[in-house]
Amino acid sequence: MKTMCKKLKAGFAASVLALALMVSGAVNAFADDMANTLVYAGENEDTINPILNNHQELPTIIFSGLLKYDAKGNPVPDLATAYTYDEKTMTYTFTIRDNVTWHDGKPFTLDDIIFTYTSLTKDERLTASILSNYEDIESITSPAPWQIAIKMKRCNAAMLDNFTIGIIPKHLFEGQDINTAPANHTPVGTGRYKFIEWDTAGGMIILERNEKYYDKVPNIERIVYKTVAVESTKALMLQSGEADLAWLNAKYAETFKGKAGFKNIDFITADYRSASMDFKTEFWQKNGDSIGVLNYAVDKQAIINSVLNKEGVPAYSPIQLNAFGGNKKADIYPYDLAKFAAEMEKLGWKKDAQGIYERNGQKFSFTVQVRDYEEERIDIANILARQLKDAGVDMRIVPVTRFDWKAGYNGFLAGFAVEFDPDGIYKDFVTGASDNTMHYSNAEVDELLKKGRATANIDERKAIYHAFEEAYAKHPGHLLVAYLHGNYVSTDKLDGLNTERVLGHHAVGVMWNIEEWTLSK
Amino acid sequence: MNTQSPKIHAPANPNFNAERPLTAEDFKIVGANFEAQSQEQDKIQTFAKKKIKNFPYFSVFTLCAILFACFFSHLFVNHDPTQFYLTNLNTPPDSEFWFGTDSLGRDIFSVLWNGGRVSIFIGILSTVIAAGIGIIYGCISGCASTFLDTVMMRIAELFQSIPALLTLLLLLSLQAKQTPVSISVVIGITSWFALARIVRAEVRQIRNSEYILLSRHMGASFFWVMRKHLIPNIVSAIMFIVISSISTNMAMEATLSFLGLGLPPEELSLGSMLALSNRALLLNTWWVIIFPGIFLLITLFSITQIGHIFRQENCKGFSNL
Repeated sequence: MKTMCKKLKAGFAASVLALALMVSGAVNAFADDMANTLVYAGENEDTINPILNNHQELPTIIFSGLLKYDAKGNPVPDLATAYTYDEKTMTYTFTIRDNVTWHDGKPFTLDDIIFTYTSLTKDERLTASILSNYEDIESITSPAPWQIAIKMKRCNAAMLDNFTIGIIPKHLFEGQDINTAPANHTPVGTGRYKFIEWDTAGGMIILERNEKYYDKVPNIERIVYKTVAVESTKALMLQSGEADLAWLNAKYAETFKGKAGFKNIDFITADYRSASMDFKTEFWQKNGDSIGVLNYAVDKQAIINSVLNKEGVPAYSPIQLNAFGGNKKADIYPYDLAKFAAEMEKLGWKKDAQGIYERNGQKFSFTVQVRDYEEERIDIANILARQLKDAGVDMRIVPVTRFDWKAGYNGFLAGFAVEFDPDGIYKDFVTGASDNTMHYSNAEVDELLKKGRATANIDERKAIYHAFEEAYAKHPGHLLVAYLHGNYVSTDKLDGLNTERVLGHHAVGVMWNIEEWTLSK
Repeated sequence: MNTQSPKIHAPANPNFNAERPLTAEDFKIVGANFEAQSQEQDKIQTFAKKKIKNFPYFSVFTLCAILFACFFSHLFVNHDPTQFYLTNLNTPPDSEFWFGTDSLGRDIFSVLWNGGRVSIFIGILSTVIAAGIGIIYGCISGCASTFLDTVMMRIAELFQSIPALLTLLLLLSLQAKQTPVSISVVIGITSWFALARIVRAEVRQIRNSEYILLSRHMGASFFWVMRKHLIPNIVSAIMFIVISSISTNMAMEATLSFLGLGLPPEELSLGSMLALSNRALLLNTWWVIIFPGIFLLITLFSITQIGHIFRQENCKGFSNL
């Protein structure tokens, strides 16, 4: 009996020991897993497709294009190892890598490139905001093995930038509507990281480094991309150690300055905020001449000092921070309430009994929709509305969870960025262009932007875009407010972020050199 | 049982003068029910004293003061509640900004009364709507046939079983823009179920009373009977639930605004002020949370206390309340 008890005790002790070892092994394995896992608190994602989501972070690291941007924002070879341009035939010829495989193991072929560019130019079902960037392409052919020739209809000075678009796999998209294809939720690319899982319930997307990547394989093994819309939640996640890196608004980023365990990384961005007016609506069709004058009534510096914690500059042009923009002659609206009143009178507006301007029996009253989870935009809209109200203009804020373009709102609190070639503005401002959702139309602007696209000489282009800035300032479609700085906060264990690159809308582009990053948790 | 009436004796007063007119002091009550009558009088006095003693002076006074301050705040606030004082961001309480300012420079003291007015308005209006629907529905169900009564009560129970917040979210999502009235309507139409069940139970008890039967036989309409006979008889029973609904609905508005589903950003209520708490915690501005929180707490406490008294009044049986 005693022997049996001893055996039982020994067995129990051995089991406990084994269990403890298993648990500690599991914990260690988990700790090892997390040691080289970057948890990024990022924006919400609906789909991951470089054609549909051209200003989001994940498509840039899952997919790769013929070219990619370097630190200075210049296009350099990526899937293509070299390229030439024949001015006579207006044809770009790319030499393509022959050792690339898709993340699902299928070989990458020239057909994938042809399929992607054919979709961008000929697929009538495709509704992407970037389509206007590819309207000058005439044909895509493969003149020789591992060579692609893209013939243009006319000169397009921004085309090299447009060749940075990620290539999508033909074997997953062929015969399908790209807008709704299932592969948008299980993306397969050729980029530095491969998609593993999209936990929609938990709000996270898991990526692993692509060990078969054709260039430098990243140091960080895994990325957990947590989809967090609310800005304060991102800050709280960083504070609690639940996230390693996040883009925060200036006020929250400030609270991490000098705090042990954190690093503030401040980027320059080309990201601006404005009230973008919808010319589909009757109000702006009748009163579109009175958008520019609103600038006189807005104290932009006060908004920057308060909402943006001084992390920004007043905006006067949509390409102000672009290498081709920044024409001071376009800065024609100082904050001047007397001037505002005088200009309003010239335009025929008179104040009613409530102190709100009125013209032809119509009050100067319009609605602007703002996404309710974007605290910074809500704050900007609040102050903007108050300053305009003090001046006699009734701007009403409508918080929405998703922008509703059919509800008849007169505008939205917008964010745009043209961080690379100035032609990035073409799709947003040219009449009928693919991203001109606000239906802005100005013949002079159309002509200048078309000319800017078709002009190769850099100095001539600069002059054209400066002229665009002046022409646009006179008849704007946006009430421009401010350019933001890109304030990132990370754990101090993350290294390698490079602030040389000017970031885009929502400070996107931070992962441009992610392969160099290191994490030592 | 002694049925003898008390006898009146002339007082054995040595100074008795038969020619002097008699006064009250010359008489005393005697007899079998003398003690009982005296106790009855004591009871009435004790009840009145108890009532006066139990009257929620503090809550009524506080609530009246809050209501007065909210609706006449323009007489004493020292800043414009809708203004952003952009050179005074996140200012702690001081002599200029008594309750401090938030991250956009709004004066918390001035906004508090303004927001309180909106919250109280929503609380009262939504309660009026809920009471209106609940009382009519309950009366109809209480007076209806067994079958219809069962159907109506099952419908009410079915809706009551759905969490109110879910229904609210659904209804709010159907509205393009929220206003205090629209939020009150939505809260009102999602919070009448419990009231309807209580009304129905009360009506069920009295619906066959002679005076109601007589009224109906004399051709009185349903709404006349409801107004003249049913509501006066059930009002004391539902008073507690109606009054406490005001505080529940104010808390509901605060929840909705906290979730960002309430009023637009330019229209501040107590809930939307509390919605700034995340930001305040991150920016270490405690005053942005504490003052609206205390205000809401005191208001809800006062309303609940007043409702509680009505409940005690209504529960005349054995109760530990």
